[in-house]
Amino acid sequence: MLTTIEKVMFLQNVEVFGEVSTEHLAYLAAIAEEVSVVSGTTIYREQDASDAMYLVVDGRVRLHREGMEVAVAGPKEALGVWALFDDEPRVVTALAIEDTRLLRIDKEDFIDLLSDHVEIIRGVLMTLVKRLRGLAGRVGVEQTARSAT
Amino acid sequence: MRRLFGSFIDIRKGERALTALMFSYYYLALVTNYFLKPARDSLFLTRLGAQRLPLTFILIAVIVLPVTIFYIRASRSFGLVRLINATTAVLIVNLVLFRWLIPLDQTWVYYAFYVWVSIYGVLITSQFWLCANTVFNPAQAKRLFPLLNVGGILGATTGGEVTSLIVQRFGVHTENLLFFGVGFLAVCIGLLNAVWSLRGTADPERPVPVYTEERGQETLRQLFNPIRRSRQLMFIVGIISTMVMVTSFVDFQFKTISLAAFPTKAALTAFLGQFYGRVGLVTLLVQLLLTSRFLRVLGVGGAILFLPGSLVLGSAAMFIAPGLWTGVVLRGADQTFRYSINKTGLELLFLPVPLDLKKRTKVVIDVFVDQWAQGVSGVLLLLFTGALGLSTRSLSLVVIALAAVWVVFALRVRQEYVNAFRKALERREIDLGEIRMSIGEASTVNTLLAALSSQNERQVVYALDLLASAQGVDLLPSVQPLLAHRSAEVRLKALRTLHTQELEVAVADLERLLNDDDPEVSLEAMSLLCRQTEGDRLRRLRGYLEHQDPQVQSAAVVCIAEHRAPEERRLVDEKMIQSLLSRDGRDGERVRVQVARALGALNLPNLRTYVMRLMEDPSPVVASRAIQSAGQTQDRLFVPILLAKLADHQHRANARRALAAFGPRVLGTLRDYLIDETVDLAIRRDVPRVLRAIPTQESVDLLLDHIERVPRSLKYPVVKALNTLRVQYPALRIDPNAVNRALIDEARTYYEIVQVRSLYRDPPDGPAIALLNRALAEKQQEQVELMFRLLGLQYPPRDIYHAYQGMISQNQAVRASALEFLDNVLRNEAKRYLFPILDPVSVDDTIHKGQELFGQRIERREQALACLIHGHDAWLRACALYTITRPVPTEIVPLIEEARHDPDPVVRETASMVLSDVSGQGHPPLTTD
Repeated sequence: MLTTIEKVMFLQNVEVFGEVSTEHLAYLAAIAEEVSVVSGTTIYREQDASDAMYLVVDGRVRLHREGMEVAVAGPKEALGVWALFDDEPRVVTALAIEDTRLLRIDKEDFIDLLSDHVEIIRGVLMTLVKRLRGLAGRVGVEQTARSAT
Repeated sequence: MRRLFGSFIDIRKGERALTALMFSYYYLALVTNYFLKPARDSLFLTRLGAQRLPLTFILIAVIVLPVTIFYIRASRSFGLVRLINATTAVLIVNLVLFRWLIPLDQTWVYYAFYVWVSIYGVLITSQFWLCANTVFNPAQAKRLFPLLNVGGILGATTGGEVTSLIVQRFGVHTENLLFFGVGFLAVCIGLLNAVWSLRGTADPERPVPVYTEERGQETLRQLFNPIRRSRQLMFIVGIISTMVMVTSFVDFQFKTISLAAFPTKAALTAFLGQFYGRVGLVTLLVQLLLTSRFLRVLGVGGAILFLPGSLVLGSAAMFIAPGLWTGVVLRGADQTFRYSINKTGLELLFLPVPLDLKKRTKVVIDVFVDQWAQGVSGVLLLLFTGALGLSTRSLSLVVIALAAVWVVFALRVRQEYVNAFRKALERREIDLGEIRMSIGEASTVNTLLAALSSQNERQVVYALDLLASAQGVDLLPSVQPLLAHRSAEVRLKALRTLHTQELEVAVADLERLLNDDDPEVSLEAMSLLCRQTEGDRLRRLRGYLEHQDPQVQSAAVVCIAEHRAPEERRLVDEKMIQSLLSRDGRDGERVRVQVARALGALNLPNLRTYVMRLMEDPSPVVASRAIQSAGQTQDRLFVPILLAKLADHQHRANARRALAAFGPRVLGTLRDYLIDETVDLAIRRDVPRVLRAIPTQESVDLLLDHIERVPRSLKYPVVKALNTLRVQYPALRIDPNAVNRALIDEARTYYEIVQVRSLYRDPPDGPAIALLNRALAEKQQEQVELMFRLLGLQYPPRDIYHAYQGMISQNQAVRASALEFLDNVLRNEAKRYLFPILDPVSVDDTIHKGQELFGQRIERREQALACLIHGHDAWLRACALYTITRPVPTEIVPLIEEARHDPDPVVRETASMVLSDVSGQGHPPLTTD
């Protein structure tokens, strides 16, 4: 079993939590449940309700859509992160292709945690704003390049 | 009477002494001004004659502006008190000097004195408002400034009247009035210093804050560009320009006539003193009694046309029958209406101007346009009276011509105002607070009434919001049809507007709403019904209580509980409550919510058990309402339950409000919970938020007492609560010594973290150390925020907030400005501890400074580990433990053992893991590398 601090070590690699302080990641770690699945287990299917995010501790998970492989997630990589923030169904199926250990953060627990620790929301928003700024900057550069040609 | 003066007497506890001092200060400043004005006029006129006046108008226009700019710049560099004391001292010396110079009878002295008194008037007024804006926060300003204004008007009246009295009755020489000025100004210095010593925690030596919206670097052309682009603002500029010219001409006529009627110095001083005094009094009465009524009847258009209209009539009279009385009436009307009806009308013209544009242009218009027009009128007067040789009487024709131009501008701006207002309403850009002060104005009301029939639901709600406080407007015909509106929000707002306006609505119309789908609408309808006088009210209430629809029944219970007299409240009994609570199904929850609400208002001991039961209701809406009612009862029985609810995020906010409703009685219990380590941390973390909702000195003292005693995780909420109290209730005293101690303590922690971190900075060996490093960096940032929050308890919070934002900015220039600002503001002791943190030369230098200040030396990792594991921060304890690997230094082993019994579960868990790992008992090595 991973301890809270070990879970923090994994959570700090999730991009969306990049601006959340490690102390607050410890609160997230407290609601992160360790799940083990054997190879061949379907973790979730396309069109399933989005009720949790996952983080691979060890093992590998294949993400596919209508039979087409989209990606393979290995240790420290996260799956279904946006499930925590919206109610859209899953867009891919996640299948364990090795015996895999995962951290699972339940959406309901996550929302409850946010209401107690607004600093986590601030951290998540900071990441999103950085992303938006990056995108806006990129669009600006592309437009400039296009008009130059 | 209360209604009449209500807006002037809203002084709250703790504000009385400060308001009295500021009132006296302004009163005396204006008394002095009105001692000096008649002296100035009579000395100048009797010695040089009225024909030289135009030159003084030009001189004033040329000199006042640079002096004002110089003063504003000086105010940014010096402490406010130092600046005001120095300015007032200079004014006193000037007065003594003028008293010595006047008998020398040199022409330039009279010019200089005339201009000096005009500058004094501008300076003393801006100085006072600068001071008032620093002493009072915006919320206080809204309540107290009208009262301070009255102090100024009373000062003007007293000054004028007393001048006349002492010159006429007691034979005091005009020149000697300057000695009175010296005396009053000396008292003003004393009053100002008393203001600062009373204010206590604020730093009187701070410079006046530089606001970002100030655009000191812009050229005149840039400042005028936004005005040029707005037709409405251009018309306003036109109005102000012609107004200043007309009033300067009228002033010239009046002074010429006065001099002819009172050729001696003493008689002229006495006459002018009496004139200024009485005009001040009439202005006050017109402002209090007539302006708002006038605005209601004729609207903004009437208000801005009233002054030019009066002056045209007065000037016509002056042309037909020139004389002292015509002059008095003309100049009296000019002064009275200019500073009452006309001023209010002009201010209203800015209402639909977008806030940003208003901020950028209003000062420019008020200062530059006014001064420019004053100078132009001086030149024109020289032309008309000198080159063209027009008589005082003939000048009336010029005044009439200028006033006609003014009227044209006023008519054009009125149309622009209505259009702009309509557009602003569509965009919902109007400031609610501002419009509430002037909602009676006729064209505003008509535009809002028209908006009620809009298809846009949001616009209807917005217009209803604005109209709710309108007075003297018949709203019933426009609002009643909205009771059938498709939107529940509109129906509810319409009912609330009818309620606020105390309007009688047909019972049948209201009864139709009792079954409304929206429970708030049905409750509001019931509330209005309970108030209606039509028919037998008691019988009607009984009817609602026995109604077959439980929704109507419960709404009646709430209404009777909240609004009715004791004999009517007796209609609601336990049996009825039981019966309502036994309802289930679709309406069950709705009924329970209403019952929970009624129980709070009824506040009967025999019904407490129902409140408790509803506090645990499975429906969060019902439980929330019951929690609020528990607070309403103020029964201590509920305190432990409410405190337990602080741990429940669903009900936390209501539980806080309910606990705060107990007021100071609950402070002891809150204190116990705050310091009790066995209490759930989630509850303890919320206790400061309850305390900040009980704005008493005891709450402040309690929070201050515990800044240093609570664990780190509670420190932030404690300081944050103090920040809120400081901003919202500046009269509460915050012990600067306690804050200083806390600040030094936080600085010590910061330096400690820097030392510890320096031992882990390179090479970054392993993920555990990287985690500790990151946690330490985060703590450093938190420490800085906490220290700024503590500074916000000692210095003006807004300034400190801006300084903090500047310090954390990525922009080097912004950081430098913030640092410069802090360098000027902070006291030396605070700077000694903070500047090495805020402006570090290098990490080693910061470490050195920390060692110098606190004598703490952490030079080895083992020491750092011990320091962290013994520290107050649970997360750093856990991270430090996590870095321990084999071989473990012997001095660390007992610390790990100790940490296994730490109150924090994460620390305990980490200690156990480390212990089993280092003793080789099978805990797997870390896999996160």
